Amino acid sequence: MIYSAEYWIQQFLNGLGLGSIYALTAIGYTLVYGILRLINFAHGDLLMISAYTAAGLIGFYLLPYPLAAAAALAFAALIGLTVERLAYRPLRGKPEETTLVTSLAVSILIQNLALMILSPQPRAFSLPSFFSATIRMGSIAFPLINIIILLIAVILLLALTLMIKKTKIGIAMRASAENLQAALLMGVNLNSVVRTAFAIGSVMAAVAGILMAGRYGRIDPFMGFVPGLKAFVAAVIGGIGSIHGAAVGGLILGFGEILFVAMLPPDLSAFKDIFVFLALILMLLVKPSGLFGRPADRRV
Amino acid sequence: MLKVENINVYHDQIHVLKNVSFEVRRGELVALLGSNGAGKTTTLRTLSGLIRPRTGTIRFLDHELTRTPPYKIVSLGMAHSPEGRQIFTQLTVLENLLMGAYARKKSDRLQDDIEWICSLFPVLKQREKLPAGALSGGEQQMLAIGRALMSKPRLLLLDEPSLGLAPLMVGKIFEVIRTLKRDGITILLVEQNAREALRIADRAYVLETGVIKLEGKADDLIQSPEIQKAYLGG
Repeated sequence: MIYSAEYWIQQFLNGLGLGSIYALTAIGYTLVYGILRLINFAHGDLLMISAYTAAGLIGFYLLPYPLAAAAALAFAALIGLTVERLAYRPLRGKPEETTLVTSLAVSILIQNLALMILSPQPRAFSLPSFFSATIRMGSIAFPLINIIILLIAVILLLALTLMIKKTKIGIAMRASAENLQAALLMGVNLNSVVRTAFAIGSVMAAVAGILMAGRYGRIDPFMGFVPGLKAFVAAVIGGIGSIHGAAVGGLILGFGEILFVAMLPPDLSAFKDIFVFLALILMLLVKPSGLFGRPADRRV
Repeated sequence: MLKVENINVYHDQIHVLKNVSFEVRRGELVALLGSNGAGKTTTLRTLSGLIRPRTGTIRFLDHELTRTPPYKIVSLGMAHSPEGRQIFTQLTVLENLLMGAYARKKSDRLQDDIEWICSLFPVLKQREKLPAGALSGGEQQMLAIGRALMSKPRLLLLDEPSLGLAPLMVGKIFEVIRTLKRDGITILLVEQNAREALRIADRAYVLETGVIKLEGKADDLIQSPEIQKAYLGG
């Protein structure tokens, strides 16, 4: 099969869009894991929560888009923090497998609550018409949304990097991720660092949720689960605990998935997740700590 | 300043500290001596709130510490330079010092204190922008002490500052500890290097398998046959 240059440029932009969504979602996994060694599988469901919140506020309460989106981010952050407080904090210091299983339970709980409250039927979701515009440059046409997603992801990741590098709480987050016990001896209040990590991660996931809903044009109660899993894979490939790693891992997965689909006959494209998890297995075989990961360090 | 009474500390089922009592008075340099596994580090970790005693009390400047979270203990004025230094290797030297000041109020004059630390350890000034992991062992120890001092502590806990250092560096570190004492900082020093520790301490306690075996003035202990035999090699 030979495709035109336009086709590949479009696929490239698709890869950037999808990769950015994974990257934004992966941040939450990596920040929380860096500090607590907790793999929070319920993180992906925040995509769904934020998309439904935005859709509901727009559909039922006729809120303007920016307001509805802001409220959705705030609500997702609230849910993220509540889950931390109720499910994870009581287990702090317990073995990693305990918190891992708990997070799976939380995830299934959230999904089933959503099924109950929201019905399993997918719903349409559309962003303002501005987002769904198509850009034409000569013979190339592509949806603007992929560019917007990329821009938002880049801005958020730069802001996060700046915050982690320069602010007091940012330095404390890096210190806590490297050596929690020493950070406690410096007077770091663990709960405030953990809350910051959950809040930032949740907001990023919420942004990803709205963008993803806009990209696909539909939402359903399980929409966050598989992307969440893939974002987790992205974080592992990049090196869990590393913010750059999460960004790069997300882009690698996004590109890989799109290219996999683009290069194979259409009837195989349903199996695109093969690529994602094959990439994970290969990465773990070659470099278990991921691209930007560091070997294990001292824990409390 | 610090009064520990009958604390009992367990690691799982193992009884690590048994009815340990001691005190540190304002302006004193007190040494806590003992061999590996005697419970010295556990004692310091208990003071800092990283481990909780099952029974007993810890009074520090009129506060009861056994229920106080670690970050509050730091802001009460206790700083802990931990075993094995535990500097943040991926942070720069300067960021490590800033972390040391984490518990302080924003308006404090941080810059003056960074200057003060750098006058104690001039090498840190030269290495300010480097990741702390690039420092030598002795420099890392200096950074660990400097970082602890950045909280402007009233009581400084030092866990084996001489461990693994070349003799010349050990001399330098003890020189600085002497300077800090002269500047009026109260210090609780944990050491295996009993000879050096007793030379600069006012008083000392000897911990053996979780029990305080001996206590007294440093000058007296240095003469005691038991200490001579067990810790000073003759």
